[in-house]
Amino acid sequence: MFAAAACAAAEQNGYLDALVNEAHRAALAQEPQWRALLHFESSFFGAKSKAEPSSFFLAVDGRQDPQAELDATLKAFFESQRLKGRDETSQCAFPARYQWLKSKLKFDPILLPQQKCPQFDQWLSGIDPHGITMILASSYMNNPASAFGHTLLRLDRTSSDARSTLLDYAVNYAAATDDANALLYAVKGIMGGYQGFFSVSPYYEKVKLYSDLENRDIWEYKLNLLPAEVDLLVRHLWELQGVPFLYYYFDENCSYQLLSLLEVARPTLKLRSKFGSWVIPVETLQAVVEESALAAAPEFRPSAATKLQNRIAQAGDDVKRDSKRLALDSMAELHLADLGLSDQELAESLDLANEFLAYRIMGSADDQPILEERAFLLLNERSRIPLPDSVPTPLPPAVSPEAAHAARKFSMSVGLEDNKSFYQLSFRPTYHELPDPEGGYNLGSQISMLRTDFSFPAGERPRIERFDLLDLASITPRNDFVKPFSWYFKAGAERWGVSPEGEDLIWSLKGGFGYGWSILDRALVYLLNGPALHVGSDYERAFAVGVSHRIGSLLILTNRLAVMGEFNHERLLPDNNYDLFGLETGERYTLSRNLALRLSQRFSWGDGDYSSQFLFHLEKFF
Amino acid sequence: MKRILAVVVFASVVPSLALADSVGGCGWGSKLFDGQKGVFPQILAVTTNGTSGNQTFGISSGTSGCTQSGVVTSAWKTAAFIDANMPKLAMDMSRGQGESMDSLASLVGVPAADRIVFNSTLQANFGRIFASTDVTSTDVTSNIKSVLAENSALSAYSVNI
Repeated sequence: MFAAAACAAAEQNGYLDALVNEAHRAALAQEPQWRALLHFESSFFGAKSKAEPSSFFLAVDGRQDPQAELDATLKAFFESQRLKGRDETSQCAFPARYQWLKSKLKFDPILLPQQKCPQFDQWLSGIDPHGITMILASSYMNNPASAFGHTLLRLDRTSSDARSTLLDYAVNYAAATDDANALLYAVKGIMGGYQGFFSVSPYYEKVKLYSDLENRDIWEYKLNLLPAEVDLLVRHLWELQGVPFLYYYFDENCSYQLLSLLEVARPTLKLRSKFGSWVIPVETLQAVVEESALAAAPEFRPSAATKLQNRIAQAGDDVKRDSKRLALDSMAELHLADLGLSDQELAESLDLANEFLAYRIMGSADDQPILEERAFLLLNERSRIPLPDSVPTPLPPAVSPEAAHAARKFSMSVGLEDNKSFYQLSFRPTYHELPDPEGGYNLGSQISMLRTDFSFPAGERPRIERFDLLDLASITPRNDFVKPFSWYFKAGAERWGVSPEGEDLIWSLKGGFGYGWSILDRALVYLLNGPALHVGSDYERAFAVGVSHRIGSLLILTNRLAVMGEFNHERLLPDNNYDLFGLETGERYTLSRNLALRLSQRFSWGDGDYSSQFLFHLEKFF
Repeated sequence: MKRILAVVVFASVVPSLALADSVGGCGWGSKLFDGQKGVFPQILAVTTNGTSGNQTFGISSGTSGCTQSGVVTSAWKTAAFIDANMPKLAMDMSRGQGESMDSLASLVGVPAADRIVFNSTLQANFGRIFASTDVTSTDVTSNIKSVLAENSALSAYSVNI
């Protein structure tokens, strides 16, 4: 018997050698799919796996050497002892590698028996994957930076239909952190100070978080991966449990890591190589679209806030009035019967009141317990009316995020400044300003970083006309029910404007708050106020502080044409006690997704001086 | 301060003392109004990843951190779904329609033909199901089960809760 066992072992060793030799001969370790499975990438610092040293690697040098890792993997498949920390054998801990190597090398079932993997099988049958959908959570209110988006994947069950996608499972990559200090957290997030992990959870958890709590619209893009590709991706997920990566906010973030999963499924998708130092989630989605990995147009899942705003917009004045009373009148004043409403009218008002209350309750109001009692009462009242919801789900915006203009902008401008010819080139690395084509973006939201304008005065050297470190704005319309504030923040330098003397570059720091209103969903009107600080040799004490007031409007006339105007006033105090007035108008015409024409007019006057500028711009996004 | 980056906990699916299939055994505790404070959007939020408490790998882990070993029964999944979706379920049930109701029907195995009865029956029994502002998901689950059991058209599905 001992001899038989020894023979079997020798046979197995012999078979292992044969497999390793065949793998070498076929250069399997060089294949893109093997490298994708190891998350192996070449970079400036050398070639190695992005996964941190962990039980993900079976070879000592597996992180740097795909060949060594492949050899060690084959060897481990023969072993029946459980891997440390995983409580399963290597075959079961690495089902994707097993599947791939088995199909490439045609494992002999006698010489390398397939082991039973009860945990993996149970998990897989629960996930029941049939297809993959890429999920984009778009921006949320008053946070322009969230416009970059967040992406995750959804594993669609075989039994899933359009009405039960909540029961599918979501794959998310996120950093593990406990830091409450926002600055530490920002720095560590950017510098790779956190580890990132993949996780799988019910999709309804994600919808609850993004749609209900954070009020972000969700877009769902079904991918056209084949069943075998889906199978390999899901098997690979099992391999990624608890495997740490380093999380880098800019380039190795949620969306980048999802691309690596897609490349495991389909190695011909060259997605990660398209991105450099900044991986913007929406852009990764656009890359997936370009690589034709999409099956269909996206599904739109409106956030709780979007649904509420839609309901408000559709409600007549009576319904709005009654809803507010139902939601906010004190108990003593609330007499449902006295409202004299038909069942239909009452149902409509209750539906609006209930969504409004849910929104308020989510937003942690001071009068929480009172709102909760009222919500409970009104939900009960609504349940007594067996009529359907009369307000349909909001329609998706005309332009979905993958069809929005690209992040970088380059402009060429020509015109007159103070009656002299004026030429300008401008480059903005990111992301969206108010005059830009609004399709796919949140109207009223602006985030611009590191924009630089160069002008070319006749007979002189080119010079910087404007440099923006940050130019942010968030104009969020108020209505009867929801009253957010709007805000802006700008830090940068500009040569424009009426200044005490000369035309030097003046640095400014401005910010403030205000209100915004929407008219018929096509126009925004805003009023913003706040402090301003100017630094420059033009000023007596090299700086000036003041208060700035702005009133403006942005009108979307057609899906190509928009006009905007702003009137602003700055009062600088105390030594430089003068008023500066400005009027800026603009008209933008969209030629195509990434090309626009714009006319701008600027006037500035104060302290007896006056300046004007008329420009024509050609703007390209890329 | 909002925790914007997730705390990710890897929980391996380890065979352990099997928790009873019964809903009560796991102690699902979510309330209708969970005291979930909304997120005050950080003006310069650095990252946009999720903040839900426990993100795991096992499909058998619900929001209450409940883990079930072995085959995940539909009863368990239903309890987990209700536990995680109380406010939305209440909203949908008050109207007798909605995605949460459809998902619940799907979990409980109600075919398309019986959906209308399912929806209207639950709506009509809202007061019994969401009995008070303090009702827990355990209560809601067992109340739904009772309501279904009492209805001749739907009693067959009550075993799936």
